Amino acid sequence: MTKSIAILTALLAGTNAAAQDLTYTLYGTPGLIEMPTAQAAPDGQVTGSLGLFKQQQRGSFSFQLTPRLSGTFRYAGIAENTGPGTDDTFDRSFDLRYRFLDEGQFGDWTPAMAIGLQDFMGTGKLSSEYIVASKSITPALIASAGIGWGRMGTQDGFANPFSVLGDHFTERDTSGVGLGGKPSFNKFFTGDAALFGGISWQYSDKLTFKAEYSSDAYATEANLGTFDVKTPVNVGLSYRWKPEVTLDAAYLYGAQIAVGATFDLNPRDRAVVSGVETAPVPVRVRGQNTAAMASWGITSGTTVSDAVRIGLRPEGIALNGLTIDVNTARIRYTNTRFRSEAQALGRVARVLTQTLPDRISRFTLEPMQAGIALSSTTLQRGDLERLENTARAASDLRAAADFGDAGRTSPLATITDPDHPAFTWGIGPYASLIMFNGNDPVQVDIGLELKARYQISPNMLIKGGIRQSALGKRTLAEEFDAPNDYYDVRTDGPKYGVHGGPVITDLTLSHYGRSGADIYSRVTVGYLEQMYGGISAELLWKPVDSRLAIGAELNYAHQRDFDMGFGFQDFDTVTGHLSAHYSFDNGFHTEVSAGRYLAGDWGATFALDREFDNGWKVGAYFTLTDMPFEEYGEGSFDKGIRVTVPTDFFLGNASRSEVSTSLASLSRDGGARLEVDGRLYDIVRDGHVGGPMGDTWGRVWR
Amino acid sequence: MMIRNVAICMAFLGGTIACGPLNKGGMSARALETVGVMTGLRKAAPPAPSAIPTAALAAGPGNVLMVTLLRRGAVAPLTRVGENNGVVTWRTAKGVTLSFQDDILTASRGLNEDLMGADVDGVAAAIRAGTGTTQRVHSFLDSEDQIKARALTCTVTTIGPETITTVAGPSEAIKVDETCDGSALRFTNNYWLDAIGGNIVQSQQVLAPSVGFIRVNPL
Repeated sequence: MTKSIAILTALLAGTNAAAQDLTYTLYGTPGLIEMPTAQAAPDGQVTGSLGLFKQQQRGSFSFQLTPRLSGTFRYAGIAENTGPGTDDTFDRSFDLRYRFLDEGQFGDWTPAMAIGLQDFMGTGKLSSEYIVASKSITPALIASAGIGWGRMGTQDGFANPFSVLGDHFTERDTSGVGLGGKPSFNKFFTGDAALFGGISWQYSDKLTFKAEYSSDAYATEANLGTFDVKTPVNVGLSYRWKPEVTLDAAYLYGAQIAVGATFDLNPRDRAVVSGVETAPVPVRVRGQNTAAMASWGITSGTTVSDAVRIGLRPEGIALNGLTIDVNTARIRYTNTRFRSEAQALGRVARVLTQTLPDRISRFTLEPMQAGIALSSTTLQRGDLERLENTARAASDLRAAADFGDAGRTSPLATITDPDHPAFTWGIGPYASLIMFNGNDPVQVDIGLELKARYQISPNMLIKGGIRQSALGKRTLAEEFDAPNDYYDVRTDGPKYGVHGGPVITDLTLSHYGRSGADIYSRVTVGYLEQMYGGISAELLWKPVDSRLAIGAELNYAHQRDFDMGFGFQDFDTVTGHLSAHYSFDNGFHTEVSAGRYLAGDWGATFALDREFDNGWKVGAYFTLTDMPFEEYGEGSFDKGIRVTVPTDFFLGNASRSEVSTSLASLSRDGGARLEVDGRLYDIVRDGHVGGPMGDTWGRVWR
Repeated sequence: MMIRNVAICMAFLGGTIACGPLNKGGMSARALETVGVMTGLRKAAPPAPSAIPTAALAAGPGNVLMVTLLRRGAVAPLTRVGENNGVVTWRTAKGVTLSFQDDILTASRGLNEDLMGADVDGVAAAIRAGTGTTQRVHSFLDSEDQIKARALTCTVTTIGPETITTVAGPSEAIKVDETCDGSALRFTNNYWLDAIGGNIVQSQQVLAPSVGFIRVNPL
């Protein structure tokens, strides 16, 4: 056998592939040990990190929102908050960083430079602002130097150079921040400034040594006697244990040992690029026999619609309707397997080439979800035959396709698919996290869950769930103080289900409809969520090729009993919102909803998400209402960070499931919305060419 | 019947077993699997190589391809499942398909990085001639579900006679190399031509950057 050396080089499109490994601070931000550098993570990077030493324990979540802008949400435990022997406290904080200059941007001498705000809207315990420059001295050695304010202006501080701009900058306002949660604009870059700097030296692929001169003197802690800075010099090392996991150790201020761990993940870098789901049937060219279907274990049906149904079965696609009119076949189907409706559509089209008679020359495909047809795509059979396996098959097929609103149901023969029974159920364990509840950072509830659903008709569904916690009767976590004039619409939440018996998580009857071209409707009745039952009704306008959608929702909510049985308490309310959603071509998605919230407060919610076409979403939101900040309580107003992760990203197998997590800074009574399952927007746009179906069109031939 | 199923399910609960259609690949199973893959403790399952079924060998000449994924050393027989405009599609028992235009790979489906399509007109003729310059376009999905089309310019050169060993035994063949270069990809494919008829009796062709090369032996 001939031995031949297989040479294959995939050239990287990126530019800074040779750049030094990025290291992180104990704050979870790009930098040295406690001090930042001007480095940035790759675009889109999601980073979770822990930085632990005796005086502080920090857990951080960072996101590189654009190549230059990144943000961090942090939850820190601070020991002995008011002096030796006193209680610890927990503190939430947000950072923003902007790298305004790239290394080498204006010639070799240019360093990278960044400006940052640390803890700019929390209670201010970690507040700092900084400007920092970093420069590679050799490929393995990076030096950084910067100027800091706030905490970072306390070690050998000097008069603020910005004082020339006005007296405002001379002194930093050290009065309390009250309820926190608002950007402390009046403090930015004020008070004494100090210099910091350091170097990182990459000894090997895995090991980097770091040393820094910190400008944080831990002044507050030193005054309280809870931390003793012996030297401003910190030393440490980073060890890249796995490509995505870095471990850190440091000796801080000559006083305490610190350990850290950083977990990186980039939504733009999927290990299983195309997914490992099995191949679709190939296109059958008219005139050929249908032998290929047998290789997929598909025997032909007795009727055409039977054959199509059997052909779609291995793909996890249910046939809802099929009509053949002279030379056009019109089909409605429900994809239960593929995240991308484009991929499902491509598979349906190929099954149709295998199963439909040769005289049919045109396919009209109408994907359905929740029993409503989402759009219509018309393909010429000749284009499928001509383009299969060519290099530009996806874009050429898109150019040749006609996209439109789904047609009316009337001429369509409806089919009941016996492969997808009306009644399904499941029983299994559940685990849920109760985050940032009072002074407990995380509570875990585990137990057993029974779920069931009964499909009355394609667009009418009864579903429900019962949970039994394994924890038994629980005692309440330390309660929020909610001394306001509003009803405890959300701060009552922790009281639910603590009795230890079985609880009904939800039990609803929902109806979805098409009220006209581009208009969709939903009505949901029953036990909608943990705290409320009632009626929720929704209308959505979303043309198939539009990146704009407008929605209206009206709800009547009645508070459920704390035992989460069938009973209700006295409180009821009407809430409703008008919403506008806009999805920009560059991946950013905005949403504004204005209306009346659960506590009767009026206001608006603003959200900005970065949506990756592979299903990842990372974003932030805030709600401002007419509830005064002092009535809202700690945090001043509702805000948070949310992340959605598609499970097929990791597993490789096709799946429509995803995991969503919201890190609300605090869940209180202001700006609270009813939680209703199955809102229209995400269901509808998923099947639109001006939405995820179009954004994932590259998968149409996968 | 359902009640009994529930009872059996209940007996297993407490472990991580979940039952019922709504729990297939349920929360716990998914979470465990996801954590495993994320931490690198478990790699996402690749399609397993399959042994050569005697039925495939018995199918006769022209109906079976033996394909080796060189990077993994996995071997699988593929059977012919369709032909579209000169492109023949073959399938493994595990559901991976490969498509060839005149013995030149143009597509794969079911691998962790598929060749989504390729324009290879003129390549087979240049290989048989043993010389020439050809143009290829290969397309791949990226991590964000977009198609990346890679244009390549290739030079075909005859290396010379070599003895190769196939299922049929050792035989004399002429080795021809095709070296391709583009802005994002660079590789050399090898072909062995039948010394008498000039047919491609074995080849090593690139599939995708993270999958590497396949060796193809028609039976």
